[in-house]
Amino acid sequence: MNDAINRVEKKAFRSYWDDGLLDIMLGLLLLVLGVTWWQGVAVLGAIFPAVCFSMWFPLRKRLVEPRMGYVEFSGKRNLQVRGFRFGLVAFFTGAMALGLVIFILFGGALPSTADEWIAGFPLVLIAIPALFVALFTSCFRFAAYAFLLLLAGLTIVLMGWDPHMGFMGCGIVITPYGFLILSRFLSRHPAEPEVLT
Amino acid sequence: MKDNAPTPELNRLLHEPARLRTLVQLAAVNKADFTWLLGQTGLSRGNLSVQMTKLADAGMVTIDKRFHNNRPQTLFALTASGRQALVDYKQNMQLILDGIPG
Repeated sequence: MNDAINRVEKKAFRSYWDDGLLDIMLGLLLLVLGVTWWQGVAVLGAIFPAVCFSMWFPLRKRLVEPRMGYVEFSGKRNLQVRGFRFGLVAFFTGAMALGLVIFILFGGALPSTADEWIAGFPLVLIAIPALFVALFTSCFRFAAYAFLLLLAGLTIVLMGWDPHMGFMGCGIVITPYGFLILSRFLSRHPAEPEVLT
Repeated sequence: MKDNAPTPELNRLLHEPARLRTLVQLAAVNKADFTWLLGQTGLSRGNLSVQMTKLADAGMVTIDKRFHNNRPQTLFALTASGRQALVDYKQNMQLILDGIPG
């Protein structure tokens, strides 16, 4: 019976993320990163993931949970979620440390070959976790976002643009799509007071 | 299934699509509230309410009523006997299906 139950659990877990909030967060993160990078205050953009993370829980509780309902997944799944969150934090911390090491080693002046490709690197840094989110949640639209980010990274390298163009371009696409998913979710799941059985 | 073997009995409580669907959903998670089950099973509120009461009366699910985020919430969880009933149901159904020629 385990296989059948696992399939049901996987489907339930996937539907848990079908509200569009995560998409909006990703889109807004990209827009904020783009704008702050453009304005030369990219450090401010770097703290936005923490803002997103702290906004996600209250928004989900207020907006999504009354409509989608409350569910507690298995202990195994909860462990996976915790491990995934830890992995994301470790990834971004590692990426920042790597950036710092590169900056210290080269003092901002990279070898010419690396310098050409480095503009696409920040987009790859967002594409990788987006891909992991797709695999973890089975919401494969995040794989499409990862592909879009990689494509944007490649484009700005080839065109010699700054990374903020890629961030903003992807943010402009992903944010409205997230709102579209959210509005669809809200129209399909009206908040009704629960009737105690 | 051997010819002389008795036909396995199906649990009539589970042999109802709405209840079976609900139990399978509950078997996949630790706990779920009424609204979550509505969304996952596609049942109407009235139907789900009736089925959950029957399952709770049979001891297959537990009902925990509480207030969560200032809203009334009814949490359901599968009991050990509910899980066992689901396993038995599948085994018995498999035996019956195996007996169908073709």
